[in-house]
Amino acid sequence: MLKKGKIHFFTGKGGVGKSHLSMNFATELASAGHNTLWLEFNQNPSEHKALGPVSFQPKKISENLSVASWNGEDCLQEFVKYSVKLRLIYETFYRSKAINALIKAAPALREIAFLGYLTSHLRDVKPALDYDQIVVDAPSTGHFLSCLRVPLALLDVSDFGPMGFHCRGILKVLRDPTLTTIYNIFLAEPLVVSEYEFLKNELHKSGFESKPWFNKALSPKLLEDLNGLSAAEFETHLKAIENLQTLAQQQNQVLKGIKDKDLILTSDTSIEALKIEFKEIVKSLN
Amino acid sequence: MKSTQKETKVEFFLGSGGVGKSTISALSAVDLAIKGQQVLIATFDPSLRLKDLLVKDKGYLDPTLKQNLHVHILDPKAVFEELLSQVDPAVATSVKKNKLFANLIERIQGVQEFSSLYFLNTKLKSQKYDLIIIDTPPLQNSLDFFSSPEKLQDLFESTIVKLFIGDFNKNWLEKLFRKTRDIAFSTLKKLTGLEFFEQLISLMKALETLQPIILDTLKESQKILDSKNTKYKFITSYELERLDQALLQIEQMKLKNIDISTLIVNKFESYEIQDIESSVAISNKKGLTTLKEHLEYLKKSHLDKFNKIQSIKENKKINTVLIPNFLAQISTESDLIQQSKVLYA
Repeated sequence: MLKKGKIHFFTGKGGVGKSHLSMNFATELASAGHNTLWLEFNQNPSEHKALGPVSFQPKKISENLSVASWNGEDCLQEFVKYSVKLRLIYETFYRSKAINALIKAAPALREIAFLGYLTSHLRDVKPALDYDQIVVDAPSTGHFLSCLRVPLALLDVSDFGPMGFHCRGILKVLRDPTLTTIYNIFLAEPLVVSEYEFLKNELHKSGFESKPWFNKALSPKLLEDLNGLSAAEFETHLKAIENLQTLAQQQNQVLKGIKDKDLILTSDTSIEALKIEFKEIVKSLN
Repeated sequence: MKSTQKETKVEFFLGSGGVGKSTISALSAVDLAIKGQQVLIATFDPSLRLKDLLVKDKGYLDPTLKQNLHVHILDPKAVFEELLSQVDPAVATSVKKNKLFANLIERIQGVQEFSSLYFLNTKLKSQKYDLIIIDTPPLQNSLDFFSSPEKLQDLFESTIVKLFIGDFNKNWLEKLFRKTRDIAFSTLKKLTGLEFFEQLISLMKALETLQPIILDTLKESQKILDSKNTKYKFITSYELERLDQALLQIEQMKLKNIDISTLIVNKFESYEIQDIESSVAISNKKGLTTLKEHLEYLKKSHLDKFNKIQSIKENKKINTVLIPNFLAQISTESDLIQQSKVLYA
């Protein structure tokens, strides 16, 4: 059974299909009955075609699915608004030029506000989100790593007081596999695979575990069909088929190198096929 | 008398992460270095393999490359340490001791972008190179590369020191300002804790001393960005979504007077439609339905993408370079040279 409030991060090298996969994943969670929030962090919200305008406040797009686009400043504002009970003080805070300059410049404040708000419901800290499942279209490898390392770095700066309290709480949630899953997505391309390995190892060094997700794979059924072509047909030298053969070999090689057992695999053909795959994935989580 | 100093050209490679920006800018650098130009390439965080290939302790095996290709991996922290060496040593020491600086300097918005501009400024002054290539940091939208230094500039122009430690007792307006600031600061102190707050304020005060150097660099950079010797190349992968994004970003940049001279489409698949159709026919005959569907999907998406590129070419009047999907990887220096030849053949 999926824990209530669980967070699912989608990350990997740029171009592996994070947005596409996370959106499909969230949609499938929602249709399986979970009240789901899909959110993107620090992305350019204007570039959504299908969703229309998406902003900080979640927008309901179907019965169980809401979407939002967050940045650190918004999360910080939400936290300050909640923590500072007096409206006048809150307004004074945000009217201060010095504070605005500081928030813009301060390293780590925005990241910690984001991670803080995202995990608040799992730490009994308010303001808290109220969703069964949260799916995060996260930044790619390098940015994701440095974002996750912010609470670690801040603990080094300030072990005591509120900052220390929040950082320890956030790390506890992010390191608990029943509360957080990090999907590390890769493709059958050498550069992408080495970045996958890099991210996996770096996350592990910082105390976070990730799950491998192989995207744009040739499906088992397609591989079977490719094998069904006889040697005679190979000699026709059709480029489309030859390319698929090469891809199949490459995929084979990559899969041999990936030692993780619970590998998730999605292909990149029709939307219908993808839906079936996601149904299976979500079922396996339950 | 003929000057030995060179007129240095500059090329910026723009594009989102994962499209092969580092690899292609490296291949461009190799190509021109082999052809005899003095080329310097500055890149952020390339993949480990590329880094191994480009950064050689003992230089390259190929003598021309050894002589002509210069690689620099950009590191914002190193850039800021260099800046600090130009100010009061006492300030520099206090910044270096600051834990936020040590751990998180890269998280200040605009710092990466600023670092590449600072590097470019310094190297242009040396007049040693025919060409400097800047592989820009990966950003969601390439336009952000040009607005990030602006953000940094805003920050330093709001004269932080005055905001933080100024003495505001002169008139009622300043007294009010001070009061606002004090309330805001005590709120922040309560929310983050004293330790963090103090580190943050001391970092800000120290960075303030860098203001003149930072503003100077940004002013000089603007001249370079506007110069006729500077070219912008945009890299995208051969995917419909990415091509749409590229189109949008090229338009946005044009509004800011940044003209993309070349659109480079990486991982281009050059299918003949006839070839795909014959493949469909074979799989159909054999009753291999999944394969048939896959090939039909391939055909449709290929046509969509190809038409998109054609329309960019015609409507935007941009030079377009299509780079085939090599499928092979670059793992040795000779691969690097070989692929650079393929790229600009």
